[in-house]
Amino acid sequence: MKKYKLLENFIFLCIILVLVQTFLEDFSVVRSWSVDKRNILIISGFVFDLIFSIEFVVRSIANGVNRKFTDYFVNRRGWVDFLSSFPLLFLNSGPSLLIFLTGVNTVSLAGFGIMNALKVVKAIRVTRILRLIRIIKIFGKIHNTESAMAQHHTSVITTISVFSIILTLIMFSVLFVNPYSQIMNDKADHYKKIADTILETDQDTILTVKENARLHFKNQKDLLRVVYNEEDLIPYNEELAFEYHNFEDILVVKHKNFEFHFSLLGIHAKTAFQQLQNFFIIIVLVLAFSFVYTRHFAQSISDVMHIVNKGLRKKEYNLQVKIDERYEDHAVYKIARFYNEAYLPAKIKKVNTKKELSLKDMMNFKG
Amino acid sequence: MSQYQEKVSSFVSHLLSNPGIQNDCPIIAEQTVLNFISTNREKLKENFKSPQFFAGVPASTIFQMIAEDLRRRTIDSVLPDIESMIESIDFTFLSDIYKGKYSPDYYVQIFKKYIKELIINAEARSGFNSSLNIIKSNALERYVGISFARHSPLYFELVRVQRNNLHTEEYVNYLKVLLLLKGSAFIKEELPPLSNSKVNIVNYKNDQRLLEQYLDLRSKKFAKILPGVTAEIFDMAIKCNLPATHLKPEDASARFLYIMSQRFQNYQDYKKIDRGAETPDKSWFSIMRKNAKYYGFDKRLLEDLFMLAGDNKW
Repeated sequence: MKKYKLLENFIFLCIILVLVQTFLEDFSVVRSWSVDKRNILIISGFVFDLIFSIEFVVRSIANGVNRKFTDYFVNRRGWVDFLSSFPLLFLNSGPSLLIFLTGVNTVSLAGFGIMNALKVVKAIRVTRILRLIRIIKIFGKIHNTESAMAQHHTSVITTISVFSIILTLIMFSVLFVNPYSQIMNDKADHYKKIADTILETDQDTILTVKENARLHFKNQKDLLRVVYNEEDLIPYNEELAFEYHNFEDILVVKHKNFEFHFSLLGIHAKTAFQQLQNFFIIIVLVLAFSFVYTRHFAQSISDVMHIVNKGLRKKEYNLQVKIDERYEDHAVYKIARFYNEAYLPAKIKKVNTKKELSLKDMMNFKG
Repeated sequence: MSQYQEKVSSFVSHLLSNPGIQNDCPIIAEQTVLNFISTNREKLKENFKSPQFFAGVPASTIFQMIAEDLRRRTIDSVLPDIESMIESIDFTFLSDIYKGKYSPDYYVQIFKKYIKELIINAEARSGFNSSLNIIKSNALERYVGISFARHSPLYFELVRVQRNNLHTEEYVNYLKVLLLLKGSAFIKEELPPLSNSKVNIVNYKNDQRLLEQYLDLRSKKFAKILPGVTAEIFDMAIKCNLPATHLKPEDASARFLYIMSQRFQNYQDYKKIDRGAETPDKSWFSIMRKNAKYYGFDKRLLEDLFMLAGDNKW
């Protein structure tokens, strides 16, 4: 039991940490953290997804042994555990780690398609927030709403809401093109047109093309490198290029004899900012349900039922239910009013609240 | 017999250490044990014959020894509290009635002496449970204080109807004196010409005509026992044991203390009130409004106490 509690506490800690990690992963892009720091976040994301995947497997096996897997998966939110573990491991943090380990540091045009697919998958990352639902119980304890009924209802409504938002985000990322990707394509087209113009206007000497190209591309902020006929027209600025750009932040576009290396940091920052917004919308929603709705539910339903139940069962418990006049026509308060005004007065008259000793209490006297 | 005294004492200790009653106040614990003995008398007689208990001694003797041991324990435990209660009362209002003939210290001494005799009576002793609870929880200070400040119906009954001109603090002390003396109603005495055998209030509770004669004779007799305490005070103290139906409109203090004594007799100190539940006093007064007739409570006073408890979250 102690080991189980220790494990549960460890998982709770991981949930908190993974939320921090999810936040930092986007925040690091918005604030242009160095590649080293962002790589740590990639590794930690993978570790967390691995832990949660193992946890899901262990829980599934443990419940499967007792033939309770379906109950776990359907009724005790095993599906949340699943959605926030394996898909992330295989579609998000796993591939990211793989690319990081294989040392690929630019995305070629061929790889761009894969990257786009990964971007869709990135939307799945918000499913990590679903894990927050697992710790609603903690919020209950913080503001004294330990009623299992209140926790269950809050949990259900939070799951429905959060899952709806996440599903919508995923659907949007699958069905619609990211507007920032469009900006990127437009920029690529723009440079291609410039390249075409250069090639069309000055075809006399190679030197002129190079000089012309340097002139046109020199001050473009998002162009990290321009190659013409395998010769660097604009070489990488080592510090800028590799300290702040990782494999997915550089896009290589080849056009005729030109090769353009774009920085995607600006576009990624905008996408990350949007994801941060989604992240906070969901966090605030979960907190609002946990604190505001749970409290409301407890005050208008579970607390009332708790007191009535206690009064019905314990003969010495005679406290009345506080009736909220705003909801007095609700069935719950109608029951409470009956309990207050009919049951308790009758109970006090009929039930003998005097304590009693039994002969059994006497017989264990040792003399 | 003395060899059994120790065993009886150990048996009583065993009963009192029962988890169900070990945290109760001594008066309630004593009542619980006595109820247990009374309910299981025949079975206990059989059990007491075994060597584990009191073989060879008549059961009636053992019952007597148990009752005596319990009484001694209860008195030893409760008396210091009652004496502190007496010391906390400011008797100046009584001293003023006799224009300083008796000093407040004098009252402390005679009350201490009187209570030592009174507490021997089981029923009188039982009544001290509510009195001590009332004092410990400052119920009189709270309710009388707020009622006098607001001029609520309780104030109206205590001051206008009873025609009493005491100030708030004096009134609280007056009510405390009534609480000390109300157990006197259970002392049995001959009251000729009403009765030549020993009687107490229980004998006349249901006979309104004889009850008035009893109260009159009893108060006058008591006033002689405690010089410096008026017959009217004794009269009111004895009436504190009677339901409102037996009392006159001007017996407001008695009607008030009758309610308060019932409230605090089985007083439960709720350590933590569940969220969504009414406060203990408000709940009790509210429930009793429905049961007022059954218990003989003054409904008007109950209504006011309910309002006061509700407004002050008591």
